[in-house]
Amino acid sequence: MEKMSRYKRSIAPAMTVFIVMAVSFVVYNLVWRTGIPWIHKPLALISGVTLFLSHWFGTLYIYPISFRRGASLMERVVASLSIPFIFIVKEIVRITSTYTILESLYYFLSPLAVGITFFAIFQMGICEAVMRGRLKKGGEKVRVFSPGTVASIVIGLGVTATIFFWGLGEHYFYMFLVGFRALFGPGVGI
Amino acid sequence: MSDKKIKGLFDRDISRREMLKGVGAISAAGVVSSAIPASLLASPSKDRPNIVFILSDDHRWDHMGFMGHPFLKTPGLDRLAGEGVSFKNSFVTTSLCSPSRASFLTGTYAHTHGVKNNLTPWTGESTTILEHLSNAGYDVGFIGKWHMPGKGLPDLPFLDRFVSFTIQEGQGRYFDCPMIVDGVPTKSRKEYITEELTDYAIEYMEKERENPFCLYLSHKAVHHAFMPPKDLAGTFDDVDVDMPEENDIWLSMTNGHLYSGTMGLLSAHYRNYCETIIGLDREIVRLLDRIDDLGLSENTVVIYSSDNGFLWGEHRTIDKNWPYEESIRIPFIVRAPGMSSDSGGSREQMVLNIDLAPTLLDIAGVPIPGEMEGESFLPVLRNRDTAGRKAWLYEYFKDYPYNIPTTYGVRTDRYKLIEYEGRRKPLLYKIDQDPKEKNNLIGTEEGDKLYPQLKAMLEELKAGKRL
Repeated sequence: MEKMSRYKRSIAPAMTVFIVMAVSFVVYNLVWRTGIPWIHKPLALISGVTLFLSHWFGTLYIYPISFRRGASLMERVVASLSIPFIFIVKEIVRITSTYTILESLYYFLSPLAVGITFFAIFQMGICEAVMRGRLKKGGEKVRVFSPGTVASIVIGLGVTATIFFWGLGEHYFYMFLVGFRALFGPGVGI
Repeated sequence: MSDKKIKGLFDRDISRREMLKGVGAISAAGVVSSAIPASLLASPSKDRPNIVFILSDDHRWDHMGFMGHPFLKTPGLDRLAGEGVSFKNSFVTTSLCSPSRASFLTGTYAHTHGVKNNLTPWTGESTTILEHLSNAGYDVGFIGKWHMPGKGLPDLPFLDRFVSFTIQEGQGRYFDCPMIVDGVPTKSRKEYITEELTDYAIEYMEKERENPFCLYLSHKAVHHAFMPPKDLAGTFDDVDVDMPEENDIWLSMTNGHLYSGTMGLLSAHYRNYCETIIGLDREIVRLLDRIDDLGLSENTVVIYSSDNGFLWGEHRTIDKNWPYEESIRIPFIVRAPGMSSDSGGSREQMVLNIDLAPTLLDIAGVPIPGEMEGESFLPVLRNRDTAGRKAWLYEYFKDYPYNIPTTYGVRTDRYKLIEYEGRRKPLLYKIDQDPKEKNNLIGTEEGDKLYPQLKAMLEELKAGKRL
């Protein structure tokens, strides 16, 4: 694989997903204000789909491209996790209108933040295995399922499933709230 | 409540429950000094009716058959409304489970009883209606969802039946919910929680007793995850549901709505919600029928309400928390034989969750403590022309991680003014002309005229004045 410039191998793929995410976010959150159903509903549907895909499946785009363009493991991981990270930071900024900075930062442990991060890790493991498989097919001596790859897949999927499906997502959510109360009390602020 | 045996008079083993009942009886006979509050000195009498209060969860005020819902049929609630009185303008003073439940129990606002959000513990410092009635000689049973934070369930020794659950922070489970029966962890006997709680309620009513009883039946239904009984699942699959026009297919998964538990199609969750309502109503039918069978109908007041409403995409929001009408309005049906002149009638006067406790005391003939901030609606029940309150205070305290700031508002019969802490714009609606709250008058000429008076009312209410 030819190693391309840092911009091409890691920043550009992430930037592409970021632009899709940002445009989708703006369209989705503005289009309902038209008050015109035949504009609102279809555009909300489309922008919602692209927003969802960029948040939750952006890794499937970024990681393989970075891999093919010669990005190191660290560069691939950082580029892939940049999108969920930006999304979580956006969410944290959103709730700072109601909560203190520290309370808002606790949101990094929220089901959404943890779930989207580990889902990205799961996807990285899948992409790594696929790309290694291609290399092997091309004659390179490479192990498709390295320990790191397997760990990413198992841990990533396991944590994601636990967060969203254990008690239909309620168990982890209540643990999250118990943690909040232990650190900040009821958070009423009065 | 545990039934510890202790040595009583004449060395006979008596239970803690029996001991407390004995003390209560002695107190009621007037042996104790006059320093005891008046409620403790009221004697039980044959004419004091039994009380059954049924509290559901997240049940919207307009989601009952008799309220004209397009496809929901609720024969149980319809029967209750047909034989009683429906209060058409009923509200919660805080639209959130734990604070509202504490307000029902104590007759006070959240800022008074202290359970300000779902993370604030119940300290037990406020006296509940349960204790007042117990002191007045009622047998009192609490069955169902307590859901106020704290270490497990509170110690309520004045109850002679306490059936509840602590799993999932007190929310319980729809299926196979582990119960705690008088302090003892107990496996569920029925698969579905609403049926299980109704069984316990019926058993409580069937018990032979000398005193009137108060049964506080607090259902988990129709809270998230909106799970109906298995035989009713899918009932509304083929029904066309009209979701609010501002809704869209991704609303339930954006802007923090994930924590309302409505991931996926909102319309699918809404159908489940409606199916859960008919499951609840079926149990209400069963309960009312059993009251008839036991010959208690003529001497039992039955009241139905809910801890708050629920938004299904209106104003692009889901869940409760917000101060919109769909969230703060609740059903309130009262069947009180001999206490109203018009069975099947309705009342327009505004009643609140904090009015329940003083009303039950009024019904039981017990003096209403001064610390209760609600008002008895018994006069309104008796005479539809009785004047109601002019305005009331709405308050909400932020509840992590929901991005709704602390909120204060005043609601009159025509207007609503809402002010948020922080940078969110206030709201001012003419409710009588704009019931869907589409036109915020803040910043308009009309709003500028209305604002000063409403703001003054809000400040008076916050200072504790009744209007």
